[in-house]
Amino acid sequence: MTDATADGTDGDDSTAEDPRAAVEGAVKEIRRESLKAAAVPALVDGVVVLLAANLVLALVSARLPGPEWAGLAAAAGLGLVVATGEFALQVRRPPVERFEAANPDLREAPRAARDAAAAGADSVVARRLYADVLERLRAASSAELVPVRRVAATAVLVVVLSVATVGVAAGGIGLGPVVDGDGGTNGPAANGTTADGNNSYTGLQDGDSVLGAETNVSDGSDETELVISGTEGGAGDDDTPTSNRSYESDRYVPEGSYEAQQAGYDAPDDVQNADIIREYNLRIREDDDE
Amino acid sequence: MTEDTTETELDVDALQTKLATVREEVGRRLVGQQQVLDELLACLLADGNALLESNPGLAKTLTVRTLANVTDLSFSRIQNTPDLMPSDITGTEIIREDATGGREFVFEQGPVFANVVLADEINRATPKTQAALLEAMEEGQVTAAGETRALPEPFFVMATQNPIEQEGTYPLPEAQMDRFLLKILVDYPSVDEELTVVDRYTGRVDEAIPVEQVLTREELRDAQRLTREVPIAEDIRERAVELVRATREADHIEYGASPRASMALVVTAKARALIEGRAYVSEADIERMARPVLRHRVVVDFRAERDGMTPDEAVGELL
Repeated sequence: MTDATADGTDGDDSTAEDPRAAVEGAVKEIRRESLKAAAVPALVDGVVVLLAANLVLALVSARLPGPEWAGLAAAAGLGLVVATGEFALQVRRPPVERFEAANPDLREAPRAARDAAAAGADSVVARRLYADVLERLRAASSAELVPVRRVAATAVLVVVLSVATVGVAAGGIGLGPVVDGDGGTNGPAANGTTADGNNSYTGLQDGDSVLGAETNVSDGSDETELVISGTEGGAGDDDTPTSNRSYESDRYVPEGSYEAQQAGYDAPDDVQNADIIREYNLRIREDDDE
Repeated sequence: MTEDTTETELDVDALQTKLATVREEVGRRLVGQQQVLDELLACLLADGNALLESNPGLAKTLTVRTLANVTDLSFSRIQNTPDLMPSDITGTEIIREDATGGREFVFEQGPVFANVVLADEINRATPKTQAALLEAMEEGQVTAAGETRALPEPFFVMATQNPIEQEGTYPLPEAQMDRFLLKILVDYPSVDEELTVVDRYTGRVDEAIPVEQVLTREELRDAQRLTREVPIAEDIRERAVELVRATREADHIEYGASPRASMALVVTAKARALIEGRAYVSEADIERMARPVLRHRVVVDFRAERDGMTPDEAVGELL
C-alpha cells in the first residue's frame, strides 16, 4: 500500500490532456488501491486464525487422522478461508464508494465523475467535474483505506499467538491426551510419548495422571468366611502382639481365626499400574538406603 | 484541451457566481425566505413552474417580481377570480380602426404573454380558466381566436393559493397539480426577520428598493442547459427513482407520484447542485428537493389524514 495520490495521472501527459480519460485512470487506480487495502487486513486476520487454530490444536493435543502435518494444514486452510471471505466481503462494496468513505471530503464527486466518464459525458459541467475531482484526488490518500488501528491490533495479536505457539511447542505444555499407536491414550501431550508408543521420557511423571483421579471407594459387600488354621510358633522375646503368632516354615499362621473382608477397588486401569507403583516403591527405598 | 478546461471552469464558475449574486440581489428586497428563494431559483433553472402556498402578506408577489427583475424577464400578474374568463388570460381579438378609417381584427395579448406570470390565488379561478392557464404552462403556447400563438421563452408560471378560506374556490385536480414542478410553502418569518422587514419598508416612502439585473435571458437559457448537464451518480439517481416509486407503495399514501415526479426530482436536484456551487448531484440535493417535488403529488389516505399526517411528513418517513 502506498500513500500515493489516486488521481491516476502519475505524470502521464496523455491522460492529463483528456480529463475524462484521466478520471477513468483515476478510477482504475482507486480500484487497485482498494484491492490492496482490502487484502492487508484480510491477510492479517487470516494469519491470526491460522495461529490461533494451530495453538488450540497444540494445547488440546488433538491429532487429526493422516500425516503429522494434517493439523497444520487444517489450520492453514481455516486461515485461508477466513482471509478469502473477509477479502470478498471487503471488495463487494464498489471501490470508489470505499474510497469516498475513507476520504469524507470527496463526498459523492468521484462517484458522479466515474459514472459520467463511463457514460461518455463530455459536457461543460462534466469537464468541470472531472477537473474538480482530479484536483481533489491529488489531496486524497489511499492510505486511509487501511484500518490502521485494527491492523496494528491484529498484528500485536499475531505476535502474541506466535510467542504462545513457540512456548507450547518448546515447553511441551498440553491439556489433552495423545493417541498412541494402539489407539489408546498414553498420557498427556507433554509426557514425551510419541505416536508409535515409544516412551523417550524417563524422568518423574505426574502422579495423578499415572494413578488416575482420586475417588472415594466404598466398602466391598462380598463377605466370605474363611478359617485359617496353624500352629503356634516358637516363643519370642518381644512383647508385641506378633509374639503370639506362630510361623510354620515361612508361612504366617495366625493365632486364631479371623473374618476376612475383601476391600473394594476402583477401575481396573489403576490396578494395571501396579508395576509402576512397584517401581516407584523400589526407587524410593533405594533413595532411602542411599 | 487545457485551454478548453480553463474556459469551462470559467463558464461554470461565472454562472455560479451570477447565481450567488441573484440571491444577494433578491435578498436586498426580501428578508429571510432563503429556502423559498432557492426553490424558486431551482424552478427557473429546471425550466418548471411553481405553486406557492401561503397565507396572505408573505411577499410572494414581491419575491416573484424581484426574481423577474434580476433575471431580465418580463413580469405580469393575474389576479384570479371566479368570473375570470380564459380569454382574459390568453388575450382576444379586438376590432381596431386604423388611420384610414378601416377596421381590422387585432389580437390583443393577454397577461399570459410574459416570461414570468404570477397567477395569484389560482384556486379562485373556474376550472375552465385554470385549464387555459395550465395548458399554457404545459404547452408553452395558447390558442386564441382559432390561432395558436407561442408564448415567450423562457416562460414560467408562479401560481399561488391560500391554504385557508376555501369557500368558493375550485381546488386544482391532482392531474393539474402534477404539472407544477414544485410546490413551495412560504412560512411566516422569524421575529428578527419581521423586525427587519418593518425597518426596511417603513423607513422610506419609495418601497421599491432598486435591484440590479444579473442574468440576461440568454444566460438564463444557458444556465438551464447547464443544469441538465450536471452529472449524477447512478446510485443517487436510483435512489431518487426509488423514493418516488416508494410513494406508490407506502401504506399511508393513497395516491403516489408519477414518473414525472422522478424527472422533476432529479432535475431540481441538479439545479440545487448548481446553485450550491457544485458540478455534481449529492444525496443531500435529493433529500432537500424531495418535499417540494412530492408534497403536491401524493395524497395521504384517510387514516393518515385523520391522524394529522401531512404529505411532507409522509415523504419524510420515506426519506
